[in-house]
Amino acid sequence: MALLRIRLDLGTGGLQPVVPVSVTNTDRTVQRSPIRTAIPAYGLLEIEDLRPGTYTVQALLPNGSSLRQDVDLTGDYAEVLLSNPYRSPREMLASAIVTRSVLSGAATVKFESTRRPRELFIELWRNESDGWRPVDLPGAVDWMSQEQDNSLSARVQVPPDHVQRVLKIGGPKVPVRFVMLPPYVESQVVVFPRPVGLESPKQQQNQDGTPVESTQDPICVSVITMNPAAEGLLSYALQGQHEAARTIQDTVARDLMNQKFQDPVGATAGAYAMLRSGAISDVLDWLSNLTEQFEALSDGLLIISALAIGSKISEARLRQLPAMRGMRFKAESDEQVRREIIAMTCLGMAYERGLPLFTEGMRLHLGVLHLLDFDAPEGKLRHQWAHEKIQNVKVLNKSLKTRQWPSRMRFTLDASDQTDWFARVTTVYSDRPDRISKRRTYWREPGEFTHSER
Amino acid sequence: MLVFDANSGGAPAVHVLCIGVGDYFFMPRPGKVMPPETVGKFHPETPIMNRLTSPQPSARAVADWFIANQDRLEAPLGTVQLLIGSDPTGQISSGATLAEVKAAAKKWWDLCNQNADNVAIFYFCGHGVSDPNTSQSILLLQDFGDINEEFWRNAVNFEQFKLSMGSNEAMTQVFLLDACRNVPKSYMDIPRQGLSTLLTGRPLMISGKNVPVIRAATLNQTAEGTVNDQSRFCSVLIDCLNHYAATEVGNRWQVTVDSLGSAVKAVGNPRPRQKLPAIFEVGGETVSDQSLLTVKEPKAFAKVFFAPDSLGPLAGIEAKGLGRFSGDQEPVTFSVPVGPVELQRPGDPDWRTCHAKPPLLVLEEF
Repeated sequence: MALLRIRLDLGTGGLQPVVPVSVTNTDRTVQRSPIRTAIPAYGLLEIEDLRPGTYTVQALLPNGSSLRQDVDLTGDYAEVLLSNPYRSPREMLASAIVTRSVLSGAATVKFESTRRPRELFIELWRNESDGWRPVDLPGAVDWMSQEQDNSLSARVQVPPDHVQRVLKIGGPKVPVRFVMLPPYVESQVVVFPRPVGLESPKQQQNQDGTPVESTQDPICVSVITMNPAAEGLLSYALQGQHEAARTIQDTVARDLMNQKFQDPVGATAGAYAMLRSGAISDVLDWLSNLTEQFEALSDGLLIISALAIGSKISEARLRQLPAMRGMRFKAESDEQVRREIIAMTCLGMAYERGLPLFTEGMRLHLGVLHLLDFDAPEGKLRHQWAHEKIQNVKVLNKSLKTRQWPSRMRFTLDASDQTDWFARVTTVYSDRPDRISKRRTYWREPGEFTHSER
Repeated sequence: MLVFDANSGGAPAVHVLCIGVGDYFFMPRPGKVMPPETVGKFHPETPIMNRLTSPQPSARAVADWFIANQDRLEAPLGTVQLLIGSDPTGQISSGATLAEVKAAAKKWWDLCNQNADNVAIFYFCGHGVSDPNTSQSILLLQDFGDINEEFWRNAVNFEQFKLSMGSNEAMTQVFLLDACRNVPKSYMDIPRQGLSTLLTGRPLMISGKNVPVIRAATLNQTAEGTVNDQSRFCSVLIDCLNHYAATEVGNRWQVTVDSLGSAVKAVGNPRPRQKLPAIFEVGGETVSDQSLLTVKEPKAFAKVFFAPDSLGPLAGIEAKGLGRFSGDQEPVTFSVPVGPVELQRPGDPDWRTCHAKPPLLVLEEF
């Protein structure tokens, strides 16, 4: 029996996602079934008790590409190195390229000159006690030339903060959008030209369905955190790589949730992954603590809201959650009505906090409203019934601003209409984070470009 | 229409619902501008799309495949319902209108709900569009555009239909959507009100079930059909069910909920940044790698890209025992059985041994 050591080096300097790997006996003479496991974040995996033979080691990276290496296991021990061909001098970007298919494409594609970004401005907005205000960027924007780091164009380093913030990005010929920034943790925002062939969100189509070129968004924006495990997990889930997500999820998602006090944003990503797999009910208390402790994140409340109305978790269990402590509801005889009230309370609390960090939260919000709409009388418009229910919800808790909930629901729905559904973090095409413009007047004809800052 | 019924009587079974809508009442025939006046009155925006000829053979092929291969299914085949809106004489007949699809969906829901070990398979081929505000898929049924109803009444909001299946007992639900997801402007100018959800059961959002959703197009993109023949997605799907989606579990080759999606994506999708065809997408969620069927002949789909110094795709590639494969553009594709395969460039004395394993065998710079 022999030992196979698998080393994974993605050039990210210690920050590596957990990657699923399969080890297959190439000619299937000494072992029939492939061994499927995961390479941990420190990049070293040892598999013992393998019979000598030829093996194929294959790792699926979160950006959709795979690394493959054949190894002859003849003696007691063999080592195989899986390494990523693309390197970036900036470790965080290297990590992002591994976890995002769009960036991995951008890293290798040369852009046609007409597709480079045009004049661009980047502003930071912060949700102060008296409303959203533009504030100074903590550091200068790092404008990068194509020669410097392939095709990446602008990079902004954003330090942690305890309130909601957005980055407003646009230009005279680039549609203005605001991008939610992760609170509590450090992050980077990378702006780069949209790769050729990558579909543009909100691109209008002609009558026959062909895209209107002038409505194409010429840039892509990626928000990157320092947690490649969370980034990788999200990538697998978003790409429908269910097997990969499940292989790493048991360890990664639980760990992320467990470390919620160090990295609440990573924990939120873990919660979404566990929600998709149905395992979230095991860690409900953790989720509830996450929502209680980190008030700049509304995602956790949206998840609890979805669980309350859209799952089979018992009502008693929901009421025991720390986030529900102190909540008193008017007595209702029908269990479904009581569940709906719990869901609407969580929804209302989420509205008070603001838009969710992740686009997945925006999807979840629409799903919850659909469930609230389920018993709508004939003739009601979409979400009108849910709106009426939220208007009439009675919660015996003075600290909640229930009167604001219906208008906040409308705001969130308006934001949904302008959301970039391809994005990982909530991105809304509007020029203010507190007011959503309903008409898309900001699409312009393409033209010449230069970099500028204001 | 029920085309197969094993009378499983509540025992675990596979229940299939196949819908193929091509002959839309209120859309013109290919090459024509307006639908025939005899079909009735319609919303003026409706005829921007043509009738299709691919969904009917596609839905029939999927239904036939399940009936012909029922001995390979993990759970025995319970029922197959096939709804196609046309008849062999070429005269248009109903078959996939909202009322008919609703009735079939209700029956399918009831059958699937009888046992948690049931497997629900939903296949839709026809026109689809996407709501740009919510990214939800809208499936158009045969009587879509009827002036007597709201514009969107005879269309289905797929995401909400899927949520409604959340409260169904069947723990494995596979959704196969062979439809476009583009956003034609004249449709999208009309508010998306009144869409059908087909089912009336209370929806459940988080179910802990295996619910993979495999689509023939990504958001904003169109799917690809072939005139009077199976669509591209349908052909790839059937090939994957037969060969390429095989994954080895113990001593058996099986198609699982995960391997089916991965294989359809791997076989059907072009290389990154290679120009279209349409890109397939896998979504939904799975909680375990549930086996769906066994595979007798596992194969890998070979894609060969040629080195600059080679004679290129026209000269092709020789596979020992399989023959020569060539084409007029890269990649040259062919099927290879699992295991070692010997390949040779024309004019090259050396044979190269490769190990084929489903779903893909990619040879770069051969």
